[in-house]
Amino acid sequence: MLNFLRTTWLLYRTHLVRTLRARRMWLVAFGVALAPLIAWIVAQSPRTIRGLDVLTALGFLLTINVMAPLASVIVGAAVLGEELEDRTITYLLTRPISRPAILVGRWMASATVLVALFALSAALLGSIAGQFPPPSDDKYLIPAGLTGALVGASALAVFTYSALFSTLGVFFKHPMIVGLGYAFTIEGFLANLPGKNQALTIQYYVRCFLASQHPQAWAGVEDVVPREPLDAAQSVRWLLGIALVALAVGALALRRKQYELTA
Amino acid sequence: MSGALLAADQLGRWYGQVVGLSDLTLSLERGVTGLVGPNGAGKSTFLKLVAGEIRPSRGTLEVLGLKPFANSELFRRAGFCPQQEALYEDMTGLEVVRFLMRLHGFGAAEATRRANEALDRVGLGDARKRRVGGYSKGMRQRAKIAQAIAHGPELVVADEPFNGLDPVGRAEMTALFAQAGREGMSVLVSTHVLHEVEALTHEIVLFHRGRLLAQGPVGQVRQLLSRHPRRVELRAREPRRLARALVELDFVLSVRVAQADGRIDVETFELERFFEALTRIAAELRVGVTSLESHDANLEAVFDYLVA
Repeated sequence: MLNFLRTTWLLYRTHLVRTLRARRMWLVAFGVALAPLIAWIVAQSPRTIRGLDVLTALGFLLTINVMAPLASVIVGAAVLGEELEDRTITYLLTRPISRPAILVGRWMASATVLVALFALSAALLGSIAGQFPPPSDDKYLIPAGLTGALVGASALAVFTYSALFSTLGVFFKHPMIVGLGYAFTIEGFLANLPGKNQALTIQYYVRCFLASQHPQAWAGVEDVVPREPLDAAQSVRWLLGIALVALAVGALALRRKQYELTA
Repeated sequence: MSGALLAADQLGRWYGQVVGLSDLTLSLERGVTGLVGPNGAGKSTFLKLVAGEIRPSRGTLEVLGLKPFANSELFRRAGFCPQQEALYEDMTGLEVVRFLMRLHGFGAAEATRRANEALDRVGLGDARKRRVGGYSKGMRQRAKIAQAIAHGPELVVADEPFNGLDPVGRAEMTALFAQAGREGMSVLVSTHVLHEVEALTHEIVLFHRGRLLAQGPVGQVRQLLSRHPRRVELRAREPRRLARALVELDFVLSVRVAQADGRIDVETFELERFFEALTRIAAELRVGVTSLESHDANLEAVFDYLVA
């Protein structure tokens, strides 16, 4: 256990620095910045647009629905994929370390950067939306705590998605393709179908987290509020549970996994 | 230090339908040993098995008395320099070796000390703070060797470590491995150029097409191959007449004619002279040679290729 913790920490620290230098992270940062950027552009428009609509539409449709799974696939697939593509995993697999720590340590570094980026983006979006002219009707005011809920939902979404997509890297040679397939068929399709199948997606729990706190605020955006949403605490438990189970499965598989690398 | 370094028994490894290594039974003593063979001979597969990177498909392998795959105990006692050039491109040479030493369990100061010492030893002292991405092929080889020796292992497994090195670099790395051997470290080095190993050790293991061809001192292996009779398979319109002529040749060991299809199997010690004589006989007697195949000719070719 001590070896696992020590190796996880070493890999986390080393990979955190490398993640910040990686070009893919700059691409992700650009994508994550789109929501606040678009909000800022809309804010320059002479037309009267409600800040609440900008916050909820961009926050849900762009950040939660599209960017969270997309960025998580790009970053998560690279957690092991980068070591395999660069053929540097040999150096890790022939060291006296706990193998699961390779997945966990590297994922933690990626998740730290993703969570920070998404939280910052959501906070910025909330801040820009708050600068819009106040609406004539009070029911369109941005409720206190809505930005915080969006920050939390974004962070939880990328935390869980990245754990799942990192684990795919243990099993598949091309986790990016598998991850994209999953994100846009299962998450994109199933989460929007009515019925209990929604509960098979990560999106469902993220939506429950959002909707349970400010259901009225999200009413203007289609598909956000599930018919029978779980409360926030239940949603968080589910999301953390999915992430932990995914990582545990990947970590266990990695213990005996062999990778055939060519010169 | 004495005792067996490794023991393989009927060791085999397949990559899907492709045979990487087949039915290898081998025992090596501690010391410096060279694995020799052409590209695709199975050297890298064998070293990956020894280093614990991959599992055998069949048979058993023990290195330093341990089963190698995913064995932390072995990884503490061995260092692996893989064939691939890959290193962490965005890190400096010092950062790479220090990071890998930290994974070995050394504290920050000790890992830095060992990394610096190993980089000095391989001649990368001046480039330690340069990013690996800017290293030449030879510098990468040196960095790979540094990470394999920095923790002071009992055994160093190096897959084609001389690739990409200039002659001076080759001489320096050869001296380094030889010195490591004198210091009591066992070294297993693969190459497809025999004279590179001859400068380092006389103990070689010769691989060809995934099989063990020969093992022992270079001179002995050479003799073994030259004493080994080569088989030639012939077909002719008049097989018996041709066989009668061939059996007269003093460098032909045996001639057999198959009753069923008239195939002639010849065993000879001197393949080149045999082919010259066959050409002459075929022209003189007009026996109509229709096919000629020598399965063992490649043994000679392998060795000639290696010593060239």
